[in-house]
Amino acid sequence: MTVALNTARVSPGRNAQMRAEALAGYAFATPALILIIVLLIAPIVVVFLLSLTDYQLGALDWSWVGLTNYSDMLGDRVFLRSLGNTFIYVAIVVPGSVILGLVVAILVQERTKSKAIYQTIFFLPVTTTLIAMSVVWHFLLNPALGPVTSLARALGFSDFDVFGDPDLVLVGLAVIGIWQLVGFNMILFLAGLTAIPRDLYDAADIDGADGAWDRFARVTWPMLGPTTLFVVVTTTITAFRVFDTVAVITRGNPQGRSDVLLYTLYKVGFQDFNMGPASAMTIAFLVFVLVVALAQAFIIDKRTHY
Amino acid sequence: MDRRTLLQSAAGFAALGLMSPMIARAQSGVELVVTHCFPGHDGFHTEIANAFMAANPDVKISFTNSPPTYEEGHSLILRQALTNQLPDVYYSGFHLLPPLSRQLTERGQITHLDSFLATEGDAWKTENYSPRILDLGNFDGKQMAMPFNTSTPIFYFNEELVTQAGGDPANFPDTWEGVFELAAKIDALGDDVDGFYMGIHTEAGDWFWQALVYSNGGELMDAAEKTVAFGDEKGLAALTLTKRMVDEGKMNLRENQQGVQQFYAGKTGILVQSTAGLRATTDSVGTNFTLRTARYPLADATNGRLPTGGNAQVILTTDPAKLDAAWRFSKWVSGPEGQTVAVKFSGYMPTSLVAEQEQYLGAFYKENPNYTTSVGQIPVARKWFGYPGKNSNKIIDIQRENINLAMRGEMPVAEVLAKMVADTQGLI
Repeated sequence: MTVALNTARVSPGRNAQMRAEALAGYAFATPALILIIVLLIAPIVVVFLLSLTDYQLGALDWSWVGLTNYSDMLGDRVFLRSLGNTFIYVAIVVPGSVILGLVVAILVQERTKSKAIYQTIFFLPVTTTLIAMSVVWHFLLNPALGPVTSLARALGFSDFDVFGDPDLVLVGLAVIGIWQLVGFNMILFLAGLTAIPRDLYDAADIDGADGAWDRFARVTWPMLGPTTLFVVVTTTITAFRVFDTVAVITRGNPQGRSDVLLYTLYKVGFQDFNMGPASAMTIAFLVFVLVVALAQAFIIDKRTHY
Repeated sequence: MDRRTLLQSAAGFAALGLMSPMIARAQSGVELVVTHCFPGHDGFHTEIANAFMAANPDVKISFTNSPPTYEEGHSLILRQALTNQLPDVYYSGFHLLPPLSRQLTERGQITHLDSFLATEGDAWKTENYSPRILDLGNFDGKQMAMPFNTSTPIFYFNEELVTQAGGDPANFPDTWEGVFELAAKIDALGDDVDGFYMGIHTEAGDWFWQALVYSNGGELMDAAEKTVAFGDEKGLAALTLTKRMVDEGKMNLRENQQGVQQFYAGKTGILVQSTAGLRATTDSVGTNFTLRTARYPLADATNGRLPTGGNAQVILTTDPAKLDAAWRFSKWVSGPEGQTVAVKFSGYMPTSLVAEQEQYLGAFYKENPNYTTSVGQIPVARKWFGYPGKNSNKIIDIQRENINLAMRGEMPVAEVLAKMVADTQGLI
């Protein structure tokens, strides 16, 4: 459209050439556009349409049920509970892994020779398969045989059963989540730290801000604003998608206190095969992730300029 | 080489490529594609298939990848049904067999077995299968499947711990009272020793709850499958037992895998589990202690029953050219040859009456008395119940939460039972 308007008053020859170029441009973009539609947009549309039906996997007949799946979902205590649990999990994992990631990044940054070694060590959890590591954590925190229990006993603490205690189970899962994310956040913060010009520290030094805390509060932290925003958004979205540890370790137990959104979705869709309600939950999940990302972008974006 | 000869030779190669499966098929007759659940079962399935192929050289059995659970297998089959890519033979979990066979019957993608059984004759039927076993694969009056692996819950115990606590391993208690008394004594042996563990508060599915209700002579629903039926005194006795496990049996409410690991490590006296895990448990225990098994106590000696876990084989091919081979395979796996291998490799109960004879499992049972416990329970085994409607897994989850309330003492047992009945009824 714009191309056509802009070229309306130029000579006919030039006009034709520009139109050809525009067409070629669209032609070049078409394959990517088709892929985006087929791989990203179409599945979401299909899921949305499914969420308006009572389709059960394998069934021959199904019917449109309008928004029933959504209204049922809002009255379903299992769904509401898993939503609540997911928020609690996110509320522990995001601050935990962002702050720890920042601390580790600053400490590692100041190393010179051993920097690479520390980076590798802290990054290791990111490279592991969370499902396999869930099994390991499961054993570590075993209330009778695990090394953590032995340590607690030796230090005189009473026994605790992380995955059996309704009040501890989300904390236990969150610790594993933090453990996995710290290394990734550290790498992102390290990249942010490298981008801070040295002369800012020199200038701060001259102005009298020469203590470690002053340097952090006046230079490092403000300069890391954009990085922190990015880290918080990605961490929130990753934490929102918690599934592996729940599926491997607790399966929603005890008393549904570790039911999280994706696990409930999995149970409805792939154990009870109710595709309609499961699709409605998928849409709800998409909306939540989108809202979180947008809200963070809008709110924090205003404070990251200096 | 010009373009034409290139194309010709390419076509030639392509034709050769297309033909080679045909050549293979001509040599081996029929190929049956088979799917079973649990990669851990690959071993005995392959061994059974190899023996079958050796005895039936015209049939080739090939396995697809094994889904990790019955539920994932079920959803895989339903998806394949939509795209017409079903395997010829599939092993379905008993609890998923009614929805699977009904849906596939509706779609015309399953072969019922009644005519095959009729051809074999009644004498053959009574010689090979007990009516109760065949009934496990029978729904709506049709034989949908041949039972392959069957299991019931049994007691596993640590002989050394039982002896130390003053119990007699040769006379393991056959009542819950006796079990709890022994468990409390074992628990008192040390701070790091537990008496009893049964993962009813945490394990997936409701198999253990069904076992408690059925062994007390109760029912989960009425015969018409309309009204929840465990709200009676039998259901109350069943739920009270869960509370007594904690109060009298000193059970810790651990997560299931941790509870089982602790038993393997020799730190728990008594464990309730499926007999299907006997081989795996024996291997995991190793030389840590002497593993023994005992029958699950029936609180109601006359009407008490136990739910049957496991899976049954369905024939999904409707291709007349394959049906004869598929039925031969079905008879083989559920017959003495197949069952001998399956039982030895797992601990499941045999579905074939012939398999218990001396030349098949007889000698093995004499050497491995742990494996005979479940065989003694075959007469009290009944169908694994599946709730009608779309919410069976949700029902099970909510029931488990209620059981937790009772076991943790957060609500009186009778109140929990009333709530559990109402919750279940509300989801049907």
